[in-house]
Amino acid sequence: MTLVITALAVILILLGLPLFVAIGFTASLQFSNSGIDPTVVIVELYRLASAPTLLAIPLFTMAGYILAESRAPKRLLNLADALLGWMPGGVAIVSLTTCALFTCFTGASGITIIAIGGLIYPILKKQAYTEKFSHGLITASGSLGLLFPPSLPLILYGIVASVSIDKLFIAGILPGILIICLLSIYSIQQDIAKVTKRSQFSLRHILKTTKEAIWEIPIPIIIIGGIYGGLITAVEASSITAFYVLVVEFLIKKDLSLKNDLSRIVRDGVQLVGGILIILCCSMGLTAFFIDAQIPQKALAWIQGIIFSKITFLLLLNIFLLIVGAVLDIFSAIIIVVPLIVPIAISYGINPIHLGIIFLTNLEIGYLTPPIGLNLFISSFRFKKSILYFYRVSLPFLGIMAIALLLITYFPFLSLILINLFK
Amino acid sequence: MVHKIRLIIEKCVSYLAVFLMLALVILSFLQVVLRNFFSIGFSSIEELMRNGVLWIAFTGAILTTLRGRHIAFDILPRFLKDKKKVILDWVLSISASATCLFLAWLGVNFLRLEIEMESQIGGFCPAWIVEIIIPIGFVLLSIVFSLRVLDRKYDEIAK
Repeated sequence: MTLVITALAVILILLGLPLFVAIGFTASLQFSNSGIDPTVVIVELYRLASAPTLLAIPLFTMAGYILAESRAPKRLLNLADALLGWMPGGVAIVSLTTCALFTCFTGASGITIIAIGGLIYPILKKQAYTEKFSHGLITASGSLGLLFPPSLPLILYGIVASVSIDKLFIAGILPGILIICLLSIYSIQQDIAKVTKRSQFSLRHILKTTKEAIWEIPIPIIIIGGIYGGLITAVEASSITAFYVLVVEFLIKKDLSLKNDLSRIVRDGVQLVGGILIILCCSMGLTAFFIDAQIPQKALAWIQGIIFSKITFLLLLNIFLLIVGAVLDIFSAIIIVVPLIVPIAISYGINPIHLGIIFLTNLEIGYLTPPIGLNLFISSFRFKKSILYFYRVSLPFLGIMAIALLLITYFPFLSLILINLFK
Repeated sequence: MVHKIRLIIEKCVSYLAVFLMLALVILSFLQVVLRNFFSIGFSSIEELMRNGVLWIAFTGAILTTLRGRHIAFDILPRFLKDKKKVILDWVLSISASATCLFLAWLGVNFLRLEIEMESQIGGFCPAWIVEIIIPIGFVLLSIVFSLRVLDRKYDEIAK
């Protein structure tokens, strides 16, 4: 009977039933089937309200939405261009870093490609980068930055896997920088192979753009400095950031108006948060059922019977997660897959924080993986070119990110060394 | 009439969403200031705010449903055309509406248990007053899903 219900749930999901409904339905049916009052589903749902880091999700999302709607991305892009635009591959590196910074605030929901892609593409073209390279770069940048704080997927992983978010925020830094560095090296190589126009280094320009972005510069410092310095927790950082961004963009810079923009932006933010949290709410029940029916243990026993080494396990995990990342959106992937994977990975001696970083890197790459990686569709939609064209142009970037993934997977110290340092 | 109900729900939920989110931003900031600079902490407010997130989750989910943008595995609908697509959409909306109604009923059972046990939030507020969002949220979700079938102007506004 359990199998019949599971099959039914899979069919409903494939038909396109909203995920939270399918999950809630399956969870209550499974509990009734095992003779347990399905009210447990709601009891478990309500347990979510006792997760201490829950507050960080709406607060960081709000900050991200306000920043995205303001002119802050433009100001930060100008600053990055002044700082790096003069060096080989400079503009490409500027694009990578700006997109990363932006994505870590908004989650990789496609906003980066739509909003920043439009700002960056003309700049890349003006500097005589090839069209293929520029399109590939923007497509790849759309999910870059998921490993940096305060990325929403990182927080969600922390909540679902019961791992400290403060530690995850630290763990993601080096692997995130690694991906950007590898992509930057490729950009520099492209630039040297086919010389582009570069802007002049100008101290005056740097000072001018710094002055323009002076109110936004403290944001990463509050988050990164505050948490790493041990001054504040991730949740406190989210409170300060949300309040700060609200005051800066609405009252100080006045990019946005309280009367015309506030309620619209807040509503959009609440909508995103609600869409994710309602899935999390309903899946609390399903996870409880999994644990009650000892499904992780059964899966573990089965997997341990066929996979003997940690290395093989990690490799298969990578392949599995790439598929997951290509077919599911990042939030549902975390909510559904993490509770099943964590106990298995721990039994192979994998640190759950390292696992989180592997998980997110895989999903980050899943956005670029043909045939249905989301970034490919968004770029195809945004730049009005065929999806096949984007499969081709993003291939070099996909390859480089795959190399980064292998390094991140097989060298756990990349993720763990800073945590040990900041202990 | 149906269309009007939909608009009323959308308006009320939007106001509630904006109020909840802004209250959360301001309260949580005040809490940080009080704790770090004046060493005053209110664990009860913290608990209330976390419950507030649950309210945000439900209001957000209702708004998402109103705009037809729930996270779903929407490969099949992309391959269907006109009439078949509409029929599938109806079947899915009705199933979703029925499921939400069932979850609302479970929510009522949960509330009954909480009232019996006299649970409290923050040491002063009867828990059921806050938790009432669970059944109400699911009932509203159920209504909004069924409005998808009943309201013909639905998609115009969702865009």
